[in-house]
Amino acid sequence: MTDAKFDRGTVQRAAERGHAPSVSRRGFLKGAAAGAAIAAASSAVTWRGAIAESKKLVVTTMPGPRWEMALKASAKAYMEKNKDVSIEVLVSPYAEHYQRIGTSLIEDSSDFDAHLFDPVLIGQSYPKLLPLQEHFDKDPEWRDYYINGVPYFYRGSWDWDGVPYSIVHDANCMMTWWRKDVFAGAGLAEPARFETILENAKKLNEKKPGAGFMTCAARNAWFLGMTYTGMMWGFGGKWYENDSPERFGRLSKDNPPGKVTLDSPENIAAMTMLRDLSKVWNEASLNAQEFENAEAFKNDVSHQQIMWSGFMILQNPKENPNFHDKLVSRDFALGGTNNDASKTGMKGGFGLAIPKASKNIDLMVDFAKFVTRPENAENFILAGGQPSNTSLLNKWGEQPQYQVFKSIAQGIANGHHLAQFAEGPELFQLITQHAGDVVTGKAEPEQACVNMKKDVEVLLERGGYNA
Amino acid sequence: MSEIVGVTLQGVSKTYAGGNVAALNTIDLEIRAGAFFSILGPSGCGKTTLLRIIAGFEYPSAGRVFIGERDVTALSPRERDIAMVFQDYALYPHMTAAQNMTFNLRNRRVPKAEIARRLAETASILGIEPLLHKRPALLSGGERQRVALGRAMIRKPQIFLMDEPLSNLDLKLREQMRIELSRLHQALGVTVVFVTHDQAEAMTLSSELAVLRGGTLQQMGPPDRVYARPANIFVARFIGSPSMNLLRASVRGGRLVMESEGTALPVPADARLQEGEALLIGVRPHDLKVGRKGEGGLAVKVALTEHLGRHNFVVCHPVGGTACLHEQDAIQFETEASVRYPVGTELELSAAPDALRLFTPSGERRDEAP
Amino acid sequence: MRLRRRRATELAAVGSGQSRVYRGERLAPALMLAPSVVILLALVIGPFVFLIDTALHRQNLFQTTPPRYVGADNFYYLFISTKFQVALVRMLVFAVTALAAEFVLGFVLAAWVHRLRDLPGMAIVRTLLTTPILVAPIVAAVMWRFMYQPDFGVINYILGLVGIPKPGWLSDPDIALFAIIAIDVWQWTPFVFLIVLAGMYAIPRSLYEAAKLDGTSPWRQITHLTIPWFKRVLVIVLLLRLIDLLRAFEVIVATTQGGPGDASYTLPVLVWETAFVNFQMGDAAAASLVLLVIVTIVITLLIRAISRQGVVGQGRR
Repeated sequence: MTDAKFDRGTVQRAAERGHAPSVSRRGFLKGAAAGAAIAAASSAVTWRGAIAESKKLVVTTMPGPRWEMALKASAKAYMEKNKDVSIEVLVSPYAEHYQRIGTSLIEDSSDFDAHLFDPVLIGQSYPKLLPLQEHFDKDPEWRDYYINGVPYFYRGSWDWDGVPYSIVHDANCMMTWWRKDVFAGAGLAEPARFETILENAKKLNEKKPGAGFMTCAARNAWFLGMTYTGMMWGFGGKWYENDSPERFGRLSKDNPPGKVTLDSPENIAAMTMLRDLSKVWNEASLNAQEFENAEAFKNDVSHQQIMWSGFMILQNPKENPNFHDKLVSRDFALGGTNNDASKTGMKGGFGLAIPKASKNIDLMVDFAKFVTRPENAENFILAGGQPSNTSLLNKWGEQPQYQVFKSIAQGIANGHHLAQFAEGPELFQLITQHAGDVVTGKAEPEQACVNMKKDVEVLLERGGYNA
Repeated sequence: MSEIVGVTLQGVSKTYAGGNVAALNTIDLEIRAGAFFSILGPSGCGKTTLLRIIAGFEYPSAGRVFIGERDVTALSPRERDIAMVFQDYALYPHMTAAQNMTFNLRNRRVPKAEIARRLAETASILGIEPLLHKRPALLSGGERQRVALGRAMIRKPQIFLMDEPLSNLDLKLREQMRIELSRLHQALGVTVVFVTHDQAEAMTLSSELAVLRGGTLQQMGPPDRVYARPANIFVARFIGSPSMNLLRASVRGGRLVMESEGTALPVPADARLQEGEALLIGVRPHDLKVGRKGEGGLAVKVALTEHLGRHNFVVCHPVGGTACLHEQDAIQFETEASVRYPVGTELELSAAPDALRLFTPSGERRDEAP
Repeated sequence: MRLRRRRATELAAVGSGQSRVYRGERLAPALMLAPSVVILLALVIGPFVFLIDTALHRQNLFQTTPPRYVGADNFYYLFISTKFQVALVRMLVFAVTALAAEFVLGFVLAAWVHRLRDLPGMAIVRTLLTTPILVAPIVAAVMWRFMYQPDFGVINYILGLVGIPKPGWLSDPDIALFAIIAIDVWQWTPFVFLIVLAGMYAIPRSLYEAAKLDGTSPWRQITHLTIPWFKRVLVIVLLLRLIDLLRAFEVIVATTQGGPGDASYTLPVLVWETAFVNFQMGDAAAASLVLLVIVTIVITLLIRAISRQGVVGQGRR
């Protein structure tokens, strides 16, 4: 397992675990869509019978349309269908949210029936979470819809030792966005590679300063770290020796990461690209927040960006009246010597995990399944959610307003995952810090990568991952 | 030393609050060079405003100010060559006495040797050599006063302004400082403008004084003259302690007859009065004498005796009622310390004709013929 | 001796109940002190001991494994990290620059308003000058963040109208720290201004008049009269501001979160990031102890230096 060579074409390892079909990537996505359509038509009958008595569910989440709004819309729809159920959605910002999850799990609190959170916590929290396989198997139709629709290399993040501990709620990934009208007018190529992005940026800047490229935040919310991590992967780089898609960015003491490879030629090439981009990017990039990036698109300031899939709102005529139909996205770009289109970018997302201590397990499982079902898709998406099921993503992605969903469907199958070990946030801090040194001119790419490697080595050593 | 000059005010007025509150009404003053000139009046009479206008801290709404021949009306304080001693002394708290005194000279970049010489000279005149290294906080009230004086003196200004400089001292120190100020004035021969509400201070120190009331000049002149011939009943009562007694009377048959009871007093020889004219008679407590019963004085009954050591003040009420008194409810007179009247004793008071001051019913002096 | 005599008196007065009364009297001071001791223990000493204990452990809030005792490791790794060294320098640059600017500006404004105090409308000017204090720091920071925005912000909009090059106020690493300092100066100069002005009003008018008569220039009035007069007040304001500036945090987090790169990364930001972004409680506790020690040393040195100078009314000049 440690030295497993991952080949995205055949999802062999995953198939051995029994969760993913052994098909090609394209076939897999198509199959998923078809499976979903069938499931959507047939599953409505079974899930209702499970509910016996009047119950109240309490679910925690972070704020924002992708989580809070989508979850609330789903809860509302669920309650309309099940008049005897009431669902309370508790919303708190990042730090409080995770503190609440941590303390409630440690104390085996039965106050909460589900937490909506990212897979970064699965490694520590799975002993306190409900294993879901048995519940999946009780409802084969839904299971097949879910398993076939949510790519294993996305969904597996919420698994531990092959056991699912979460029902994936939404899908998020970093991707490239651009204004197709501007690109067409200037005869620019689709930004599928970073070399192209750089070239495009220079040309766009000639016409309008600051228009060529934009991303966000040198330290803010680690965005630069995420951009750079996606680039590392897109350039064919790795964090450490044993970094492979099926490890989902995880570290464990039993299964050590091995040599840190943050100073590999691929990573240095990615860092050099970042530095080159920083020389031509919109100046606001270094401290921009997401809304500023959005405003830059809406106001015709910038024409090419790397951003989260959350930018989907900009394809809504109400949000972006002038350019909504001209803004398009694609999967994260490749770069350098890497030509493997299945290996690029950075993904994230949240899953609904049920504490073992919950007193409403069956009801909660039912609600979680409902959230992901096709019949809830409209509530979910219209509220601002981005579904995790590729069948929904591809179907809705046919509408121009949801074009981004097609990019998400690819992104969640291709991207590297956020680090999923206890020091996860700190690893991102270190990556962001050294990427920041490069874009602010404090360090050359090679030196920054060496420094980053040293710092990460210390981090892993202190965490006891590399003895 | 600068040339000694006087101060002249021509029609100086000051109004506040956009012209609604008059602090000073067309004041004309002539302060002679070398005078010790007091501006006297109750609080709120405008005396401090007048001083501040001379100093240049405030500008008159109308009129002109001259120091000597120089029109200083529009000049800033520092251009006027004046020194001022403040009521609270205004010593710089973080500087020693010596630094306080020499601050002005240092500001003007006077050579150090000259500063030292003048400091020694001034300190010796004031007898404050031992205090020079101390800060104001460590000095007594009297010592601060001397340092403040020293600060003013060391500059040898044309004019000294003093704003109630003695009012923060206790009685004994105040008397001492009075003597000192008098001595200094004589020794230095400078012009001093001295503001006070204490008539005794003004009387003892001044070569000339001006009495202010409600922003209006009441009288100006040497203290003895103002005391002897007050221009109106305000000045009459303000100067002298205890205050002058004021009695209501009218001229009947060549005598001054009291309103209430018909008691008559002799008419002063130089007064040309008309039969039937109503008057106010002013008589100072020490001018009232106890006459023999039946000689026709003002009948009073003793209410209280204040023993002051060398003499007593006796407070008494007219037997015929207070209708004969003007804005007072008792008459006071002075006796030898040895003379004592038990409470309730009935006496008849009279005065020599030349001790009487006559005023019109409205309060103006009525010595001459109308 | 005194107690014994008292006890004898009580014996006589109270008879058989004496010993209880005596004990009660002896316990009374302890009982009266008890609440404050309890509060002190609960709110200061307890947490402080906990902080030191935390600093000696490696503890991640996300980990279910118990904290591991690591001795002084957390301090060692803190001191060797470039992050810490950068943060220390940034913190000092931030505090010293902002302090100097706030003092000079606050003083000049106060002197100006005090000089013109008799003019009509000065009360309004005074009020207007102090309004920034009333804005919540986090609101001020977010507001300035918007105004600084390079493409849509009002500041660059105005610069654009005039034709001056538009800097990326918070995104240029050479400018960002000073742009944040400007926010702090905008918000806290009024505080210095207000206290200095109050100090100026407390100076008797006659002192200034005496100074005028003494031919003192306006500048010398400030240096030789105003400043010495309320040196003590100045020292207090200086200390208050310095403590605030050394632990300045919300204004940085709400504008740049320490970025771009590490351009505005100060020690308090490091503590916050370590504790509440990375959840490394041991590292954060160590860093906050170091911050505490630094602030204490700076403040103590400053107080000593200033008290040696002497204050109004005493000491050498």
